[in-house]
Amino acid sequence: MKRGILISVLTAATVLGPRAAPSKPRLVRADNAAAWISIGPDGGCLRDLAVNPGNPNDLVAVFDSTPSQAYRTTNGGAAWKRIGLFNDTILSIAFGPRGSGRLYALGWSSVYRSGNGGSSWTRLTSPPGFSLLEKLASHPSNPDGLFILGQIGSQTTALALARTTDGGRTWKAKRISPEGNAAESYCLCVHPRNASIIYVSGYYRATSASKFVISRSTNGGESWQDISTGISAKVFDLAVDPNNPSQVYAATEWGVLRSSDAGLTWRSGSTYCYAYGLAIDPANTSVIYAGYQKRIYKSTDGGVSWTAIEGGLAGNCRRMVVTGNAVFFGSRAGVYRSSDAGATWSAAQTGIRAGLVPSFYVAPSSPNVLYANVSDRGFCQSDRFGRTWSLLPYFYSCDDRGRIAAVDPGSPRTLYMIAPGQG
Amino acid sequence: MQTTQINALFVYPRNPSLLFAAGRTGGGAMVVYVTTNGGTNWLAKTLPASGPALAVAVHPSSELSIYVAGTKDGDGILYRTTDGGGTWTQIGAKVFTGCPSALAFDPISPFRIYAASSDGLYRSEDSGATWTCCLEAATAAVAVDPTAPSHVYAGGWSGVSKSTDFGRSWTDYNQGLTVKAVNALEFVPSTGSLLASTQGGGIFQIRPGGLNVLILGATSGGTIEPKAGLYKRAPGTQMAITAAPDSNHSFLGWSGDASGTANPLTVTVNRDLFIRAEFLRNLFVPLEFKGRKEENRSLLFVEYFNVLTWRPNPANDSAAPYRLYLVEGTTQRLVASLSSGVLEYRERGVDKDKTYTYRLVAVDPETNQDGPPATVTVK
Repeated sequence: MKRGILISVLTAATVLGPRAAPSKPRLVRADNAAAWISIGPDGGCLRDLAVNPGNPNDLVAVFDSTPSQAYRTTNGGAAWKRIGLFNDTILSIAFGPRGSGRLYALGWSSVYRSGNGGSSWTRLTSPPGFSLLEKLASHPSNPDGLFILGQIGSQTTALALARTTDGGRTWKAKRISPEGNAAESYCLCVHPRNASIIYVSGYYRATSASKFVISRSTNGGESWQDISTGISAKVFDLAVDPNNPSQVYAATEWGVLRSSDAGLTWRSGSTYCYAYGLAIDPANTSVIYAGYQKRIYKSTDGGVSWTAIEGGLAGNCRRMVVTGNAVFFGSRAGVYRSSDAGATWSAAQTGIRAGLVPSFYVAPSSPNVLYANVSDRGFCQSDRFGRTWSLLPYFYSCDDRGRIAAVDPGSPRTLYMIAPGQG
Repeated sequence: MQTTQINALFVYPRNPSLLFAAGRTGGGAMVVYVTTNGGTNWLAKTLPASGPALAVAVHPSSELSIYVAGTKDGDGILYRTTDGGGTWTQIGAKVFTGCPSALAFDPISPFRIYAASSDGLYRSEDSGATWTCCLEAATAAVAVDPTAPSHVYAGGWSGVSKSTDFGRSWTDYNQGLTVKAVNALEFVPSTGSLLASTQGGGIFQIRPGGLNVLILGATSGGTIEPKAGLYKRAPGTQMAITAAPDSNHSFLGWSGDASGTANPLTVTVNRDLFIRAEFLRNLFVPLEFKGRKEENRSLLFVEYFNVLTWRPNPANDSAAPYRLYLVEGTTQRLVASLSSGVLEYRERGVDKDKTYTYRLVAVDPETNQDGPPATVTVK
């Protein structure tokens, strides 16, 4: 029987960005009309995570993939829905101020805004003169206010902060480091109640100097003061006490440091704590969470002593967030939540389909049994063509695209794997 | 296994004890290790080349026909043996600049092989001696539909392409593939599915034939018609499934993607469905369940017992054990689990003036489920 011809339109939920292909009708033969469906596993390599300042159950997250994907939960992480598919590499995502209904996302060269919870995104005018945009923060009270940390210049480059108060129509920029031949931004931290106070961390290499830097502005980014005296370590993340803008914490290669004089002097804790992400509990600002690899540290005394907590977590931390209800650990393996102040953790990423899966293995004798090699997470096993997934207890994953495992043809529960150390 | 590096593993589909592991020896030679006993002993089959082997595939028609891809001085290199690794022949010389990352064989015509590489998808019609580029796009993965070998799928950074003429012409095959960076492809013949794993979107599945899969199962204690197994049906197909319990068993109902006790059950196969019939052994009330209160008086104290006795129901499995419950308001509390031969239970330390109600059930030794209770009240 001859099959009919049907017209299908290639669409993505939202296609944006300078490299976006225009949606155009394509002729697709009817026997090709079957569509791909995502079968998981849930999770992905998180790039950034943010909570709505007006609703502790409302969070957004972006994940590393091509195209980049943004997801949102409105029930505290129980379930997530995709709200954006960007033909861009999204590095940062933020809510606008409380009640503004705004979302902002930052790609390498573009800034995006959504006024409808992520259903559609508008590209804003980017700050001129920047070669790379890296970190984004929204103004805590002006819905059109934005701060962007990145690299300015084309021949030479410097760390710089751009700011707008009118949704990107006009931008002001100030250099934070000298001109050099390399720079990198690590953290942009705007005080949640006083947007004049901004802390940033990064790196620059110039002929005169080459260093890791922490800088502070007390006038909204107009002028900058280097406060990294005595620190020659990469500063992954910064956190400022919402009640006391001079109380600052820095997650560095030297461990988590704290300063009570706005960065003039820094001190280590009494216990060593290495972390990539920091978050302060706004309800009790002496409680601080520091996220590391498959582990967090918690301090209840303002960063003096730290207790390590493991179990239920996976991946290298990329963002810690404290909401009014829970603590979130966003990592290269996905999103994890604790509802008991960091004591116990479990995955909170249902619906996030952003996994990096170099290889997968179908059991020849039972095709509904499927193993996925998920980067930074390990082997996941599915029993019903992806309907349900569980993480295998033996943690090992390999980013190499080679076929590093094989399922026994006669026994779906026997998986051969190349052991770490030999691969 | 003493080796510096293993990069790829392959299990021979027709013999699970036969495994191949490709890599590089401590001395730097390209190597395939072969085991015929599931990995207990490994035999090294060294290739006449230095550098790492990165992929290994064995021809579906002969386990002696092994293909190895690797890199030598940064260039892709492909070797073949037809005698299980005794002699190796380099094939596809100067064809691949990058290492072929995946190989696929035509299951009907064993001379036809596809190789995915960063230079494109290549096809050989002479068991690998010569190659032609049939898709000029960086390709990471390739799969052949074994039920229709002219259907070939290639995956790469920009999605999946499909050919229905052995790779001569291609069309995009990306509808619904939101993340197009494809790392691996596999065709699953039993379900008619093509699976693709991606860099940032997890795993995707498509049914090129458009059929949905129905997997039927049953617990022990009964059968279903059609029989337990995997069925492929066009979307919208209706199927009637009948459950038939064995003697002394009952049909409890459906589980999985169906529920209730309708029998036969009519389902519309509008997506993949997993349906299981649940059967249970019939259990009967223990007979002559009686109870009485007894007094045990010593010099120092008086203790009261509830003494419960019963007789086994000959209709039950002789191995069926018992569970004894005490009814407390609207709930019941387990007092004791008793083995099948026990026909009396004494509960010590009971209250002289209190009334006790007990339930005794026979238990299915297989499923551990309770049967219907016998009840007795002790005053």
